[in-house]
Amino acid sequence: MAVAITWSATNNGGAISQPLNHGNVQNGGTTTPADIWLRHNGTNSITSCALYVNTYSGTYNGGASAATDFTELKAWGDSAVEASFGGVLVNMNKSGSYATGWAVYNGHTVGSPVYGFVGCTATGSSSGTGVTIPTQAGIASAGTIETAETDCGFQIKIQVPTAEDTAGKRQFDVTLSYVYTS
Amino acid sequence: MRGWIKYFADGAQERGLDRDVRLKKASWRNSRQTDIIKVESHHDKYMICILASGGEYWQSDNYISSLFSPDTKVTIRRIQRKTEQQENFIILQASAYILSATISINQPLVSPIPETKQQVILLTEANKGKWFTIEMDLQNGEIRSWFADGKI
Repeated sequence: MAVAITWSATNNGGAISQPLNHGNVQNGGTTTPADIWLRHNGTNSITSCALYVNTYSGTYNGGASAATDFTELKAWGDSAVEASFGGVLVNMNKSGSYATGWAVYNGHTVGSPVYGFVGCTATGSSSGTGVTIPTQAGIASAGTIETAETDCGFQIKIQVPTAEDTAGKRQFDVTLSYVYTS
Repeated sequence: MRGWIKYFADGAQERGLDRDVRLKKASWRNSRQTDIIKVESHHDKYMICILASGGEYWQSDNYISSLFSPDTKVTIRRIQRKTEQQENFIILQASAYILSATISINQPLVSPIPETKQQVILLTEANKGKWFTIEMDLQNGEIRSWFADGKI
């Protein structure tokens, strides 16, 4: 790897022990937002930095399969019915104390809150639909994490749809895509 | 082999193998930029290449790192060269695993690469001064070329 990325739970902290457990939540509820910080060890900036929700890349030990969980989580984000809406919500408005940036159901135009997103088919669920990290995440230039910069942070939480009828563990990953020139 | 090679008019070469870049022993930016005549980027059986006499070249790669699998993985390898006003032709030679582009003033006689198909692109005012970009997408095996407004 040309550049090592560190995902930590505090600014400039140690790497998050894997996997990150978001806890338990009932229908209609959301998990406590988890703080995530990103930094790298490259000699130069990494650019075009974008985040997206992804298929779990570890050893799966949920109740279905990693692919099924990912499909389900995207479907929650896609839902045109409020009772079925939910999924993996990412808020990159750190400078605004995360007051805005959480996706909320708004009649099937979900996925594009300012400075955040919910993983759904159109947004934040593949390398082609990744959401550029904004300056509000603590970086000087949108999409660019400078060398030795440690302030890039965001939060993740999970919203379980009110109408969900299958209890059990869901697993997913969050991926950073970026461009680097040595 | 994984990484890039710069070839120079005086016969010199500079290499940026992934392991050397990782160890900060090689750098595109800090290596020689003058009199480049060819740049190759390799990823195992895949190879992209631009041949042009002098001018401005650029190289970048796309990577991903995941929360659960933070080790970075290269997903796209890319070479760019800014086309110049006096240049009129790009000869592409492409196969499933190779894309080689020769940029020149006059239509060149290129050394044929076995099992590749050749295509001629005429440079126009619309794409002169743009960055001719070739990249290999390692996730889907696609090799493609296009004109970008700037360095990526």
